[in-house]
Amino acid sequence: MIRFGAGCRRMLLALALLSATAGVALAFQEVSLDREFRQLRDIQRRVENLPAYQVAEELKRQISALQERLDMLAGQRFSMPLNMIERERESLASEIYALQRQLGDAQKAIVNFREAISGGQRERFFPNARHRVATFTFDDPHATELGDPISFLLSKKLLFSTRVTSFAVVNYRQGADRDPSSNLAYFDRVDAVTKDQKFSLAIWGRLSRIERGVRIDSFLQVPGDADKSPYVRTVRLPVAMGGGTLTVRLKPDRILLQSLDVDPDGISLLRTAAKQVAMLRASPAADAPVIGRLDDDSYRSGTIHSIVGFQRSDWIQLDTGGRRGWTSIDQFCTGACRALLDVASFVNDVVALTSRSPARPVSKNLTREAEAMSEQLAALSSLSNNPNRAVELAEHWALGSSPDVTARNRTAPGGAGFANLLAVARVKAELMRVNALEPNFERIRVGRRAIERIANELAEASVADPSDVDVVENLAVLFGYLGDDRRRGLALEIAANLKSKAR
Amino acid sequence: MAAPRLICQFASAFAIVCCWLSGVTPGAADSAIGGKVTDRITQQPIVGADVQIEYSGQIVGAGTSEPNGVYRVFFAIPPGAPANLTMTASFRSEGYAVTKSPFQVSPGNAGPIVRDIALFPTGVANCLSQRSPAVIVGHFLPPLGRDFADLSARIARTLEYALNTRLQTVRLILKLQPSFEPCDAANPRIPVLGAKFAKALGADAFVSGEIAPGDGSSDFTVSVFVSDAYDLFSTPATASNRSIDLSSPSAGASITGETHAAVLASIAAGLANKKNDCRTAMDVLLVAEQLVEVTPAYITRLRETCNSRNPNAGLRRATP
Repeated sequence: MIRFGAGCRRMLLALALLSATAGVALAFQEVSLDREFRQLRDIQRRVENLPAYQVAEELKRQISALQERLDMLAGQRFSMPLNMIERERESLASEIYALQRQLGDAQKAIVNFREAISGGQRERFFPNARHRVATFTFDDPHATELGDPISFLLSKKLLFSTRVTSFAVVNYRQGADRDPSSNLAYFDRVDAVTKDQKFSLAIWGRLSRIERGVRIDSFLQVPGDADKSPYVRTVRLPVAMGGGTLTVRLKPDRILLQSLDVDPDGISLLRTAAKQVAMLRASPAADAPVIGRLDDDSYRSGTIHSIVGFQRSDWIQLDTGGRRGWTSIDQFCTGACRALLDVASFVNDVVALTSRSPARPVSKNLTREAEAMSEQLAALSSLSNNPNRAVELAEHWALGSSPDVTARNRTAPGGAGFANLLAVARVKAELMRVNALEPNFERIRVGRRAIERIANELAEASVADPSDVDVVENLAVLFGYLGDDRRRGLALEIAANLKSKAR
Repeated sequence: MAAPRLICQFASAFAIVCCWLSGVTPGAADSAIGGKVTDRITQQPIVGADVQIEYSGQIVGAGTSEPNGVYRVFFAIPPGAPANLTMTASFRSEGYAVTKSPFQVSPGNAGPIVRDIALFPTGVANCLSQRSPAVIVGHFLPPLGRDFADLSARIARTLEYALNTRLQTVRLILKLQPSFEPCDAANPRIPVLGAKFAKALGADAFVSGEIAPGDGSSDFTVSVFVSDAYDLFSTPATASNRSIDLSSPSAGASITGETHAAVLASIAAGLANKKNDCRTAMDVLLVAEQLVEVTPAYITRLRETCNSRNPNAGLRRATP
């Protein structure tokens, strides 16, 4: 049983983007393209109303390409054979249908849940959502009372600016009160809930009073046992090389994203922003009458709130069970609050990266660890198709090839994570190179000297970060290919030892 | 090294005490106890410490330590005492906690008893750490005329929040999370004695500091000294922290990454030396390295020490 709070009301606000399918009949009687033109215009209008996020941009790109094909077909329909026009029209209709589905997926709904006080939450929130993120109220040992407002703002930013479809956010509020017998209770609870609910990412943090205000430390974590997650990649060796599997995993997987010092003005800005975002207004304007709130008890009873409209990319219309209202995060979250939202934007970028969206520059408001995680994810994404790019990115961190001298002297975040990625990417690049000459993959044999060099460098990384079990298991595979039974045996022994300790 | 010197000192003290005890014995006394009284922190002899031998609530002998810290007390065994009786030697000296040390006496075999004793400065004995890893946060010397109540406690709490949170990034298990224990009574005369405090109190690191007035009315510059129990630092790792508001409940929240890195390195040294756990030590060092721009030499040294004990070193290419 997961109980996030001890002796107090447990409340959580769950927010989600639910997948919705738009079944569309594509019947037609004559060779007319009016229907496709209409559908495309309709999609375009709805996409224009989406916030200018990556999802909308991608949809716009697809619409533009389809529009071009449709225009071309319309221009040629009297000179082309009928069957060719039909084929092209069918193809276009099918792609428009796919677009409609994507748009349907981007429709958003907000669901509020209230965790049963006695039983805890057993079922998994939004089990069908592809991407599930949790935001936890921040640990607040100095009673700044900012824990809930911050996690609320982050959850809203995550939801309103996601770059992917099928995305769910669960915001755990309150209940993170400290257990006086242990300062670690907060982390333990975050860990337990994250594991139990199998979130793909979790944002948590800590607040501390500093000389002139409050320091907000925001952390991001990927569940450590995420074996089949987008944060793990494998490269299989050909049978001729022993057929072993090399594994590379996102590391660091738990990082400090941002350490933000907020002065008293910034603190009141954050509180005000959270209150304003929680208000539902009659129209998309800050001075419009307030018709409801997202953070009062009436919204904690499991009702579904759908996002039904957007305006000017920063106002969101919610349907709260028959009543509709508007809210905005960008409108009210300015200054220090805007800097805080970089945390949510980064997490959205991480989620997007795992969906093969391109990487975006990391905000200067975030830490070096955030930059490292972003680049490592980009490298992991490139590993299967463009290992040379992965090598390039990993070398920057693992070998300190940065032109910045200071950066060269610093240890890469995540210990041997980048070194492991570099080794696996190099093997993959070699395999692809040889595969171009020998089409039968299973017969490929990469030169022993190349593998030996890779293995020796990885062994050095293993000495520096002896806890990394992926590294030693990869070494066992590589030493196996090299016929180095002594080192292979030792690597297997160390791996077994590490695994038994982890249990 | 210090060990042979200590053995030598002990041997000479033992010889002095044995010679002394085997000398002329007052007629009324049945036995004698002797040894050396030292300061537990500095290991310097304590002069003029009062020594009393008690049995069943009665004082049966008394003496005082000499300038070299050596004491000897003759005492009488009460008539009708059992074959093996337990007596107590009590040691008192100004500025030190009263220390009692029980010892066994056999009336039929009342040879000289040697008992060296090390006294903790007053208040410091309560700071003896029961946990491992542990960091003791000692006294922060205030500017003249100022007093900062609970500063050690507040800094300990702030360090605990900051560092245990950072250690979460390497998923350090609960029993290896360091405890941060305040001990305002632990007041080294000079920062270099911090290492001795760390060793004597059973901690991995000892943190103390000096406070100087800053630019603003409520601002101070706080110099923080970090010492360790394993001689990782030849002199305390020192960092200056400007514009600290010491009235804040989280005093020290702005303590520099250098200080944090030094504390974490001390904890790593403890894991490597006391627990023989270089793997976890390396994990802690990974966290420490992220807190500083350039990896300090002490971290590199500790890494090298751990590398030599690390079974993964066998994965390296064998040197021809």
